[in-house]
Amino acid sequence: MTTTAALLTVIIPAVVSVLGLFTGSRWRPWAREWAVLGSLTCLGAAVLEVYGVLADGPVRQITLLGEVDTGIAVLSLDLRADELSAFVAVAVALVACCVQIYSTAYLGGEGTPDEPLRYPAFAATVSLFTSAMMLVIHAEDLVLLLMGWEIMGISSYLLIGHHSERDSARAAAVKAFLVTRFGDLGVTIAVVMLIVTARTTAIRDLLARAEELPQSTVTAVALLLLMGVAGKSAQFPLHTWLPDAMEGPTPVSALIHAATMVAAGVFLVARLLPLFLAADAALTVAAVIASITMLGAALAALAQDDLKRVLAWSTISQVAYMLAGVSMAQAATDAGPGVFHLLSHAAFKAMLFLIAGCVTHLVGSTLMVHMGGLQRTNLKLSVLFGIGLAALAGVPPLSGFWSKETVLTAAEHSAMHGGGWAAWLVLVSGMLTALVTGIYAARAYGLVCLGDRRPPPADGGHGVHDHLPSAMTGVLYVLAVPTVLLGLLMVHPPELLESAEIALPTAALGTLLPLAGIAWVLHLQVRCHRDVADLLPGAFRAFLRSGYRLDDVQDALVVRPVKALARVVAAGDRDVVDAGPRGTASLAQAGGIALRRAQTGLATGYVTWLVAGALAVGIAGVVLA
Amino acid sequence: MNVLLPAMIGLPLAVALLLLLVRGISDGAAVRIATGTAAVNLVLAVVASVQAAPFDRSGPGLEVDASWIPALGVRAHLGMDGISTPLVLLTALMGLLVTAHALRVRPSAGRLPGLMACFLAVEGGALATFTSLDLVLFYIAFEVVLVPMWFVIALWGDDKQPPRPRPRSTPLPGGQAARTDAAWRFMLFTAVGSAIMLLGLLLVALQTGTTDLVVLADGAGAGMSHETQVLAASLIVLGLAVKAPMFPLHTWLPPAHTIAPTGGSMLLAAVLLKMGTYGLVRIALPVAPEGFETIAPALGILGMAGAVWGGLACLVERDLKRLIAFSSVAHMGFVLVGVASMTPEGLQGALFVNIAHGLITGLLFLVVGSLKDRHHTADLHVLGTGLRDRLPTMGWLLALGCFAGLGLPGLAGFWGELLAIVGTWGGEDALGATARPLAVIGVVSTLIASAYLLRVLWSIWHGPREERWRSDPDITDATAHEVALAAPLVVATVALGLLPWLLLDITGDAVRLLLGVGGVTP
Repeated sequence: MTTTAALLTVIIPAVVSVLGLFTGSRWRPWAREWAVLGSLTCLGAAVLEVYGVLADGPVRQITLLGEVDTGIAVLSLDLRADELSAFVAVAVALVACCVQIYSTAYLGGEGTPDEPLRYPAFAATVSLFTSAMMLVIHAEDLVLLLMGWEIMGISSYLLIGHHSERDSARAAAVKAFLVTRFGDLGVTIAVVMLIVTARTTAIRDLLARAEELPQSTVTAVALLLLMGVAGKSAQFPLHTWLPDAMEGPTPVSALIHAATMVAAGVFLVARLLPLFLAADAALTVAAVIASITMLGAALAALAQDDLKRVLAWSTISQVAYMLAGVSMAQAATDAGPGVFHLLSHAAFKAMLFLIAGCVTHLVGSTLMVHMGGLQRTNLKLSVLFGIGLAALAGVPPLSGFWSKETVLTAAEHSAMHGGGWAAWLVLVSGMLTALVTGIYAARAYGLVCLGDRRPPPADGGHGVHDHLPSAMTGVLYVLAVPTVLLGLLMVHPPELLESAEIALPTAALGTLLPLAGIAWVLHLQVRCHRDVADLLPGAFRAFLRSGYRLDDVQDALVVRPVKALARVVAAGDRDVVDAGPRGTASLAQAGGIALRRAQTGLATGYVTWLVAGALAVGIAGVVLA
Repeated sequence: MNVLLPAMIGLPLAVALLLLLVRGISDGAAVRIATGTAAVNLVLAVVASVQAAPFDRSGPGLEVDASWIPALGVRAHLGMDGISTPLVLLTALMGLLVTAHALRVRPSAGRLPGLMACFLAVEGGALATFTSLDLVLFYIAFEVVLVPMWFVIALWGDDKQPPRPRPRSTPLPGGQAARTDAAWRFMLFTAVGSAIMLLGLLLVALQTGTTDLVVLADGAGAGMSHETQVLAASLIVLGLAVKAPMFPLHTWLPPAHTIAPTGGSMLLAAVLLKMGTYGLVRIALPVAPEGFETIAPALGILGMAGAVWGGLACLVERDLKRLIAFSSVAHMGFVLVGVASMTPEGLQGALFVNIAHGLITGLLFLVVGSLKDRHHTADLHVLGTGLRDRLPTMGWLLALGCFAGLGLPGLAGFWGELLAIVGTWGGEDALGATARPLAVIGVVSTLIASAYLLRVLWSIWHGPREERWRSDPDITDATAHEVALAAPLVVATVALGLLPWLLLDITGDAVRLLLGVGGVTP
């Protein structure tokens, strides 16, 4: 049963997407039913997989695409099903399912010729994305994982660029793909090194033999993989694509840039944890990257004016928590805290983004200056939003509280037991981030839900609606269930999460800090009617809002030099490389013209040449003899 | 004697001759005859491939070995093994596609019987190249292809290309001058290349006393001193590198691709370029292995230089057909470095890129040719944005071609590049200290490929609808005919991407035999 269920989670969305993309107009009207039904079936398969894995144990090898004989190694493109893949699969399938249902309303209809909604292509791409993510989490071979990884990348390119008639959307799509693909260069080189050195990319072999491989190889491979992780999981310094990716429709942000794709990087570290444990340097680097990213992104989130951008930066910050969680591991079974946070974040962040979509639907803008007073106009939505933000800030007893505390506890445990300065860095940064998270979550709640309703944007924005379709609100309640209750997993933890523990002193501090932040901000907002971000100096706020101006750095260091080089090459191809052939051609032509002069047609001329030639031969003969 | 291979080669050549000699064949009849011939030939090629299997034995299948020029000891020796079979199938498929393309789409200039005769002659000559097991026969078949291709460019090429003056660079010619330039360039480059290759082949024949490739491969350079091997390998590689094309000998390709009609571009990309790389694997490497090993680092360096150079040139190129031509230079760089690594996986990768590039670039030229037929331009800036909304089917085909071209895993382009890089990384025996840097450059060049192909999609696929074509009635989405032509290429691209063993199992043992590292996998 486990085998079939795991295969179905990959194959069903793939089939749905192929049929959705390539069927003709006759089946277009069925695109919605088709997409929703496919995602529901996929969710069913994922749940069955969890059931099967818990009952019968993991299945290590499920044949999918056969064996590839490369000449140096035989790669088996197989799947596996274990607790890690099964639990993450449920999270992915659940979010995908909610997103599909939500999108039927959010993107329903045909649009206009100049702003088409392109719903069938959208639904099919979401299915393709789901399939690719399932491939990543079920892959038993690193090359197969890379396949899912990149197909996911191209799906996200398509989805971010969904409203491609907008310049900002098509630019964001290209940026997202190129930045993540830059990180993937590392993964590709790592795969190449493993094929040549270890002669295998089967994950079970790599995990079993991580200790036997040469230390330099393992370290290099782990660091290179980390490059891909930073790209996909939007960690510093490759995080620049994610805030821009908010140009995609809101359900896409919920699916990709919150719940699933960004989690893939952390998933990869969790999956290959023994390999990373064999390379200390890589885990230390991961911890440093995570520490920098979590605090930096949280501060950037504080300074944003756009609700989706607040959530985007908070995603970067929260994914850094996950990465910090797995980087604190000291044994192969220690992936628990990071994975736990991955699961709870998937629930509450998907919910937050979908609520942001609802708010946008009502207000016609994603800018928070156009929002406000949601508590009065739509109490239910504002309560849900509050629950989501509280889970994000880690308020007990919501899911985010438990998972965040397990990460902080893991850091504390590591710091106390020889984890060194990296563990302390994670712990301090994690505590500070918890405080800042409380502040920006409360700020977002205050700006969106409290105060008075504000006037809609002058240009009408994306269109103001009076009520929310039930397809959009229904799924919020579905996601609210795990957002509130996921902590119950701690009661009877599955093997995967057994390493997730909570130590009381750390938890107390990690809870008081965000609560203090929340209280302070709400006090400021309610009593003094002040936005906490206004307390930041103007220039500093602009610096934070722009994401530390790293886009400019990227532009100056990479984009502009490459473009200049390309122009030089294009000119050089004509002026230098082609000069040789053109010169030869001219020379031959000139030679031809010169020789034609000799063909005078006069007998005397020819005789002269003949005599001269005979003389030359004669002299040459005498000299050489 | 098995007649399958001679029939497969002879049929298109005979029909081509017929189309040229018989007067008064109408355009429609000529295309139908040619398409029928190509279809029969595809069936023959499939049957031949099935009969040539299994590929794990030493020596070719379906061998034909008849005396031909006894005075020179030259024999008509044909056969198919795991290295030639995929290329034979690709050639036969492309032959059918380019002739069937003319059923509905007429080139802008010239009459069709001649064009069809040229296409069939190219097909026949290429099939002969891919199956010949004799140096002289190989050379003749190689040459047979050049002349009809020259006619295709010179007579049926686009003569309305606008000239491109450039402020700080040599301008590109336009109109009739561009066509003449492209045709002559093609002829001169490839003829000079062939002449150099001939010198190398003659050197081998004189030193070893045989022109039989099976004997020569078995001897693995026996009978030639090290210096002779180096000289022979250099001459043969240089000659074939012009055709591949290898940087910096590639400047004939962009004009040829730009000017050639759609079918001509498809044949150029999918068949002619492959003859060069096939020659490297079939002749240069096995006949003079020591010599080849000596020049391997140079070949690898130039291959990767081409990958980077071609990719960078694509980043600023405006003409879509020229851009795809430069991307061919980049992709062929992977083939060159894969062969130069002299490892089984590198060679496997090279042969895989060969096929994948043929399918993907064939698809891209088909789509871009269709766009050019409708808009009368392939200039990215003139074509304008919003293809996705204007012509959805065409747009998605273009997007798929671009995704495959950037080496997306799951599509055919990925495996060949990965294996070529694996081979390069581990190819220190042949490449020496350059092995790992070249592998890293190869990986980086895939990022450049992503950048330029996404730039193409950014410029014409995404974006708001271009206003200038809004009311043009000629501009319609892909016809059923065009979709039918693209379908086999799309299916093959996806199939090879997901199930790479379809191809690797055919080439695997042949490659191991060629490198002398044993036949069947242990």
